[in-house]
Amino acid sequence: MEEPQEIELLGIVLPFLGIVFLIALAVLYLNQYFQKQLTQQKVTEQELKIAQQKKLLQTSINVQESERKRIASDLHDELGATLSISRMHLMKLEQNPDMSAELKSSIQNIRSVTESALTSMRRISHELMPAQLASFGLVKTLQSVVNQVNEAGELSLTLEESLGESRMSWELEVGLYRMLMELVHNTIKHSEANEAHISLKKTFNQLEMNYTDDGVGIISKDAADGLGLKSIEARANAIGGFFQVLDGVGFHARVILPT
Amino acid sequence: MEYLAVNFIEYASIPVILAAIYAGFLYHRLVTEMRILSYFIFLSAAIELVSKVMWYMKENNLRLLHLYVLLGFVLLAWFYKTILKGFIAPKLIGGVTIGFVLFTLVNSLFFQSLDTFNSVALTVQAVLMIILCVFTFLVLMNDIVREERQGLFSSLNWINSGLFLYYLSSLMVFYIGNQFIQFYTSLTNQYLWSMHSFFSMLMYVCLMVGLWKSPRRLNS
Repeated sequence: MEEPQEIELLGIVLPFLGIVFLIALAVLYLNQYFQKQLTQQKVTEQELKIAQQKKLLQTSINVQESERKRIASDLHDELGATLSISRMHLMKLEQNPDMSAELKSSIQNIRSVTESALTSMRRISHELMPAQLASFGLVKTLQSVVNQVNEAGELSLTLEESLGESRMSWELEVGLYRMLMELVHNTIKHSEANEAHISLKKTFNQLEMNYTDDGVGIISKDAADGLGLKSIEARANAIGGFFQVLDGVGFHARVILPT
Repeated sequence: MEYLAVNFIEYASIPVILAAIYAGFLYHRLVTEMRILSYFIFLSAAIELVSKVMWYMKENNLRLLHLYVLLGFVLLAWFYKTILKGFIAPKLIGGVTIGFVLFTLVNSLFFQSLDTFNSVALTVQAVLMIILCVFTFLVLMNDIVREERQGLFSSLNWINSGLFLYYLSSLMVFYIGNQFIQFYTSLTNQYLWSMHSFFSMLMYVCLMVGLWKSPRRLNS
């Protein structure tokens, strides 16, 4: 007697369980798609954020560079010209035969101070923005830097390049120049190195710069943070490239930039 | 108990009419998603009114149910498509809606004629709505979505809860009710339908709260 009822109950319960299973399956599928979309959305947001930060950094570096250029030019053209004229007048005064020896000595002192101010002004202006970088390009400027460093005698610096006379974008030239100056400065100040080498290689769409020295290298992480390596990395990233410090004897850094 | 069951069925249309009046009052200040929901409420109220009139005139009003199932699902699918935009495959809801429309048409024309109770279409509609509601609950639980739909979050929770409760009870009534028809009396049948009316009233109350809590347009 109980068997038919059992079959009827199964006939009711089983389709219902089927419906519940169908609902669960559909919700699971939708949820799977939703999670995938969400991950995709997060990745896109992250990419946008990074791109925005990069753009911000690039703008900030560009503003900094143009301001440096303006200050360097103002210093050179206005203050430099004023100091040169003052020096010229002082030299003229010195040649006056009616002048007392005491006054002549004072004028000579003033001329010496003026000349010293002129030298400082030229150095600061050059450090802010070397005029030859804009006029003659990166290679010529670097050759000049190499000569200056070698003349000082503390470090033997060599440059190997395959760029020749070709010029790059202003952004790239200034960026590379600043990065190299930071690296040379680090070598002179911290590395106790005798020799350093700069290599610039250009392929069809990128520029590779390698910098090596035979110094003590990076001793600790704290030292690395203090070496301005972060600013070099930020500059490289802002131009769309990357910077890396490689393992080995001494110090070896590599910068790859798109051209 | 019998008195209560009869009363639930009698007064089931009141929340629908009230919800439609409230939606009409707010309509110009409602955001797009809530306007679409308002269309569903307007449709429900119109069908409810016409069916009442037909009932008083002693005419078979089951044809309206066939229309209500079809149009109601289209509007609710549109509503869910709008609120789940970006979280669900774009063509999925559209595809399901077209499939359901074709299914109901075939069902009404060839299987459950216009003058009979379309339990199959109602069951399928309830299953689809439950899937959408449960998925919406899952979506609303996510922190990112909650942040994105901040203004709508509370409102959507009320609306989704109302729809979920109603369609879950409908599934019980239309599917299980039909299966057990041989075992119960007319009073049991009345209890079952009063339960359905109760959940229908609950749904429209939830929809009204959802509309009340929804963000408003600054300029209509």
